[in-house]
Amino acid sequence: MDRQAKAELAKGGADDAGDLLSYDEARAACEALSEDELLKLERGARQLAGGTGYEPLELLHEAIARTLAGKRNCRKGTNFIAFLFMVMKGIVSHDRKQRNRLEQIGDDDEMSAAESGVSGGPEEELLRKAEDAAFERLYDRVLAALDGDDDALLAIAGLEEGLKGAKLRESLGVTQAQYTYTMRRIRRKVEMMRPKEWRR
Amino acid sequence: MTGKNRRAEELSNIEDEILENILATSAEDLRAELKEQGENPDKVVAAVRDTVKAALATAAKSRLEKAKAEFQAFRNAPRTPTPAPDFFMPETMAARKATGSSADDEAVKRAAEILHALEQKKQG
Repeated sequence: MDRQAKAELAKGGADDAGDLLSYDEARAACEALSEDELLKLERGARQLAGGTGYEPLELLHEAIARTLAGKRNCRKGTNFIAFLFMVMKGIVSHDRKQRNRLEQIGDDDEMSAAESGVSGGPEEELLRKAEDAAFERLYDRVLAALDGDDDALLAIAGLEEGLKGAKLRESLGVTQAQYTYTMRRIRRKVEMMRPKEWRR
Repeated sequence: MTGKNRRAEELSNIEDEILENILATSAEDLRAELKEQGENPDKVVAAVRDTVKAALATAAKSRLEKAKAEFQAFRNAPRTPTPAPDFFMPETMAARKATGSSADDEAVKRAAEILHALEQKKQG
């Protein structure tokens, strides 16, 4: 993922507002999106929306709305598509977490859980354990979906070791084209798992 | 506060690489993927473009409504009595005399400052 886009969102804003896209600049960036970029946004939104309450294009709409409202800021020079991916990822991460928790709590307590935010105490610990178990199950399902594809499983093992991007590719000893092809197979498998299974 | 789950971190990394892969994949390949899934790439592009346009329209409307509300709040805010312009004060008169500016000059300057402040308030 675009390191600058990710770092920018993790930081929650730049030191200098002049480093960030203004409303007009963000708007112009949206208006200037090419057909190729629109396709990439759709693919990204579709990947991310799985297992959430969002339809892919609804998720994209929300990401753009938050950006233009100034709730998410894009640093000048950042790949705008990568930035919108990270905004969407942030939105769905929160949504999935809420959904998993509400499922674990049960429908009867849905409102009180949502209102209280369920923070702290033994209930929080139980929910965290259940959430961890859900992550574990999802990870196992990803591995099962890739069963038989040794290159893909090696790539996943590399990610498990904390390797990413160029470092992961180098550790696998493959060309960029081979790496892209392997990641594409992983992407397609994960996409097929969604929307029902990609829950956290 | 507990640390982030290890599996969650790994799944997040997988997601990042998947998104990176989308960025690295050519539009031609993405179009081929859509066709494989039985979708018309041109229709998909049109739908995304409509979504972007709708988001832009929503944002513009939201900003306009916010500006209107702020302007209305400004208009409805109770007015504090305006203090007597300080250029009538004897010491200010002395300073004015020293700089050679007239009372009219000062009044125009003051009015311009007030108008500027009102404009800024209106723009939020």
